[in-house]
Amino acid sequence: MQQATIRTWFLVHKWSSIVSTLFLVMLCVTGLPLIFHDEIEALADGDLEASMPGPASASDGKPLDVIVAKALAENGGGVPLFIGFSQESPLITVTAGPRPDAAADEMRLFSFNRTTGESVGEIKEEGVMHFLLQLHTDMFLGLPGMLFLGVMGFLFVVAIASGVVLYVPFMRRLRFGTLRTARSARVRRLDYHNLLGVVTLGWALVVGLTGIINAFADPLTDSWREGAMAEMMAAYKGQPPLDPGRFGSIDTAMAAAKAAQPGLSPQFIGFPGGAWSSAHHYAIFFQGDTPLTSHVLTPALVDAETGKLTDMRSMPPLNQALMLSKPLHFGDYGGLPLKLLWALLDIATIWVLVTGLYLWLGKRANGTDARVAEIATGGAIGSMV
Amino acid sequence: MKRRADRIGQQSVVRIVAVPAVLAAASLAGLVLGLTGEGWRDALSAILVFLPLAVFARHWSRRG
Repeated sequence: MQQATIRTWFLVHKWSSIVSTLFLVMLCVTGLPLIFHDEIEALADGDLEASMPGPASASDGKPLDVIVAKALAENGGGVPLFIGFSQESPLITVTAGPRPDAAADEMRLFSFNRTTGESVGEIKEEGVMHFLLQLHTDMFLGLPGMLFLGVMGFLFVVAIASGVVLYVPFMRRLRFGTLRTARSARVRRLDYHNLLGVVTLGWALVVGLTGIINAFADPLTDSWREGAMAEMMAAYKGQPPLDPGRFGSIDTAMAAAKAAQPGLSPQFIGFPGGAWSSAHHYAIFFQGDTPLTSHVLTPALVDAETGKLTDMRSMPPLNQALMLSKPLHFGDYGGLPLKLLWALLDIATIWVLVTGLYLWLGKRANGTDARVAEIATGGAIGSMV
Repeated sequence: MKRRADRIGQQSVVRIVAVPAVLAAASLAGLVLGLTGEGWRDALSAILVFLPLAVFARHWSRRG
C-alpha cells in the first residue's frame, strides 16, 4: 500500500474516532447492564410473570374492553393509547394518557393479570435501568439526541472500516494474533488495539449498523404512518378524527383481525390518533408465526367505530429491518450464554476504544508522518519509547 | 517451548485478512442463527459468537 493511501485512511480513522470515541464509550458502558435488563428487573421487582398461572394474554383471558375500562378508572379518566400483550404469561399492559396524541412523559402504564382481570399495579418508568436506557437512546434529548447518536454510530462504522484497511499494511510482516507485550507500552497498545479490534469486527459491525437503524426508529414510524398506512386507509381521507367517545369494542375489532389472519398472535394495539395508528383505527400488530418472523410485526387496521377490518398489510422493508435490528442490537434473544458473550464483546470494544484513545494521546507531537510509518512497518518504526 | 517469531516474511493481502474474515463470518452467522429458533440453534449460535473471543484468548495466553 502506498504511503499516501495509508495517510488518507489514517486520517479517516483518526477523525472518525476522535469525534465519536467518548460517545461510544458511553454507549458501551450503559449498554452493558442493558443486555441483562430482564434479569436485573426480575431481581429487583420479583418475577411478576413467573408467579402468574394461566394462558398467555395474547391468546385468551378476560375481555380487553373490561381491562381497558379498569385502566382508565385507575388513570382517573383520559384515553387508552396502547395495549401490550405477553406471549408467555397472563400479564397485559394498558398505556393511558390525557389525549390520543399524548407525549411520552404524559403517559401512564398499568398492568393486569388478564386471566383474573386483577390489577397488578402501575409500572413506573423510572429507576436506574430506565435512566440508562434513556441515556443510551437519546441522552435525554429526544429525537435530536437519537439522531446525533445515530451519526456517532455511522462514525463508528467508518472507524471500523478504515481500521480494517490500516490493519493490512500493519500486519504485512506480522503473524496473526501477535501481541508484543514485552516491548514498549505503545507497541503493546497497538497490538491489543489491532487484535481485539479485528476479532470483534463482525459483532461490532452488527451492533453499529443496527444501532444506526434504531436511531431512526421515530422517523421510520412516522414515514410508515404517513405513507404505507395512509394508503391502507385511503377511503378515510378528509374525515375528521374519530372522537374517543365513539370508540367501539376492542374485542370485536380483535375478533375481526384474527378472522382475517388465523393463527397469528397479537403483540400490541395502537389506539386511534397515536403514533402507531390512524385517526380512525385500532392498529393491531401481529407477530409472524416462525421464530425469525416473530420479530417482524404486521398491522391489521380495524375501524375503531364499526369493528370491521379495513386492511392488513406487511410493513415496508425499512420498517421490517428496524424491527429485526432491535434484537440484534440489544442481544437479548438467544438466552443467557449469548448475553454473556455479548457482555464480553462489549468489554472488548471498550478496550479497543480506550487503547485507541491512548494511541492518539501519546506521541501527538510526532505528527502524521510518524503514525503512517508506524502503520506501514507494523510498529517497527515510530513506536520505540 | 520456544515462541515462534512474530515478524515473518511479507504476506499477501488475502493471507492477512483470511483469519479476520472467517471470524467475522462466524460472528455474523452466529448472530443471525440465534434469531431463527431455540434449542440447538441457540447453542450453535453461542459457539460461533464465542469463536472470535476464543481466538483472542489463545493468542493472549501465548503473548510475547
